[in-house]
Amino acid sequence: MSLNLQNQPILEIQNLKMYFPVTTGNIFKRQTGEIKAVDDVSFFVKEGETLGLVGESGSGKTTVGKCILQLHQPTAGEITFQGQRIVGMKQNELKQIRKKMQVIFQDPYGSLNPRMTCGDTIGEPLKVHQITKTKKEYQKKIASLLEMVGLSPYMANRYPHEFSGGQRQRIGIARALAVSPNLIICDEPVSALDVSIQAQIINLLESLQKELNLTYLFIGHDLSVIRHISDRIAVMYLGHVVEIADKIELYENPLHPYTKALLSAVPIPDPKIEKNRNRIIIEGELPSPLNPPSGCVFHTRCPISEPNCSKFIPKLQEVKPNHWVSCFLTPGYK
Amino acid sequence: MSKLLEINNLSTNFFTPRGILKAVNNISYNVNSGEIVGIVGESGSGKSVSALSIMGLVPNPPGKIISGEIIFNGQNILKFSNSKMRKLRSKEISMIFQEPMTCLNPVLTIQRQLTETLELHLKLTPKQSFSRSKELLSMVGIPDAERILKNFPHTLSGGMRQRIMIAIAISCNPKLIIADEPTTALDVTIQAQILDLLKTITSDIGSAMIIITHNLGIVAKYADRVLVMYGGKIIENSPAEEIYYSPKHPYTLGLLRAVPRLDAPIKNQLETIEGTTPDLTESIIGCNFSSRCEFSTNKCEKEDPPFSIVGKEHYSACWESNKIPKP
Repeated sequence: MSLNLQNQPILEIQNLKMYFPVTTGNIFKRQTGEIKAVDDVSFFVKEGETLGLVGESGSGKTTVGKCILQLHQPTAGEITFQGQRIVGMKQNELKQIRKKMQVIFQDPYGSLNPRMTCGDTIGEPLKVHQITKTKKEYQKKIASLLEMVGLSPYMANRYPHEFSGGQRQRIGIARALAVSPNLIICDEPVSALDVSIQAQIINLLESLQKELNLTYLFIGHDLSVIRHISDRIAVMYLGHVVEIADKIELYENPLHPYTKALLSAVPIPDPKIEKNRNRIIIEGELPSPLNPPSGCVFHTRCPISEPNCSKFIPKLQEVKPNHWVSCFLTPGYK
Repeated sequence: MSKLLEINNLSTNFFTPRGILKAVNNISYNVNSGEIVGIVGESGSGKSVSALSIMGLVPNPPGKIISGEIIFNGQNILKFSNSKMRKLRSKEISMIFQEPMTCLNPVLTIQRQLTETLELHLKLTPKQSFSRSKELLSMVGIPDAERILKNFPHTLSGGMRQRIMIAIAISCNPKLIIADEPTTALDVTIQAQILDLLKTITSDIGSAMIIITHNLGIVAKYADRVLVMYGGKIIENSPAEEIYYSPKHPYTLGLLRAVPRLDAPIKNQLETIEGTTPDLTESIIGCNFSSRCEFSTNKCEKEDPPFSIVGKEHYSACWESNKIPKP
């Protein structure tokens, strides 16, 4: 959690666009539209920090993560990782990049191969990248990885079904750590877990970050968890980043109407506070990314929208030091 | 307030190849008419199975209610025949399920699914039920009801489908609505809409409601009383205000502390409950939480604590309940 503001960005994303084509017809496929999953997103992640990427389902947060990992080939835009442009890289170059960039998935049940033992799962990246030379070294490394994530080395011979959800997520973390990466993209790593287990995994991720000087891009939808783990937070809505700020600034002084509504909707386990809270309920539902609203994508649900909002697209702008927002009606926005 | 639902010593078991799984283990609680009760617990705590037991929907085999009684409106509904139970479901007790995606029939129009209960239970004519279903949809905040009624579920979003589920559940003005994780599959902004809607609707039609959830935050605003379940047992039952400010069971305390709160200063580390939930097929001696509990003593490992009164209408199953600090 130690954040040095002079830190260089380890990852920089500029004007990233990811459109998925929609086709009709079985034999003669025609493209009839595009799903604008990610539309003109720019942000950066500094070395050693945790950037929280938060949004509701369909906001494009996972797609951003997959573009960074080059699991999707972006439609347009630049992704720079440690000074190297990675869009359009060749496979053998990417392999080197993937050694430094790993991912932890959301679903601890689906992301482990049920036919591979836990040790084989963790050891696969070691073999692929030829990190360990001898068999002895290989086994030692697996044991130390298991210990690092709070599992016992003797569990290496067990299969995924013998573990609980929280333990499986630990295996997923160990697999990501095997190649000693610099950046880990955590795609909702705790949302499938129960609260008591969730806290264990969050603490583990935080202590590993300190120990190994990791950088996290933490994707999530639970604003209380994101607030706890992140240094800075980017809020996404319908493929756009609408606000980026330091976590304390964002939660104490949200500027975008969507961020305000999102924060006010998070339940607090305290009846007295809950009953006296002023909740901003935004009407309606997320519009289709197939046919997003003109102008500001949020104007259809925005409680304070003006006629201009549907005509012009607000660009992300720094209205205060380190506080970026894309809303015409924010004080200080030009 | 009169007792609407009274559950006494209910136990539901599942007979699995691995042995007998005690999903619900000797639970008792009451729901008064007009009251909103929140049941909170993690996965595998038995909260959903206890709801299915009330509805008479426990899959049999492998599940079976082995003992206890469920008294609804003065009658033990466990003794009801299937056909009598069928008349009770939806009409007197209705249920809202967790997944709005899978709980509506994909090949029937919304109209078919909405009018079915109306025609079956209230014996309305098709014309009457059509106008009533339009009324219901406007009650749950769906504009353009006539067009929606002709649609199939896949054309609607998750939030809209959950509204349809609510419309079906309230269609016969039931006395009790059981909402099983009604907002878990929804986004936070939609969740707030749906919970507010549930609250106003139940007070409008004067029914009682049981909200089942894994998130203590969700029921804080709405529930009159909160029950906490762990490993098939109710471990705490208290008026809503008290359980958040002075819990009397270490597990409730752990749940409250493990969740990061938006309004609290950020802690360096979250407090955790070590270990995992117990395997319900194994018979446990003593308190089933003792292995994870920081207050556990010798007595806890040997004797199962009784569910006893610890305050005004506040019950807890813990030997050390007076030692539990405030969260």
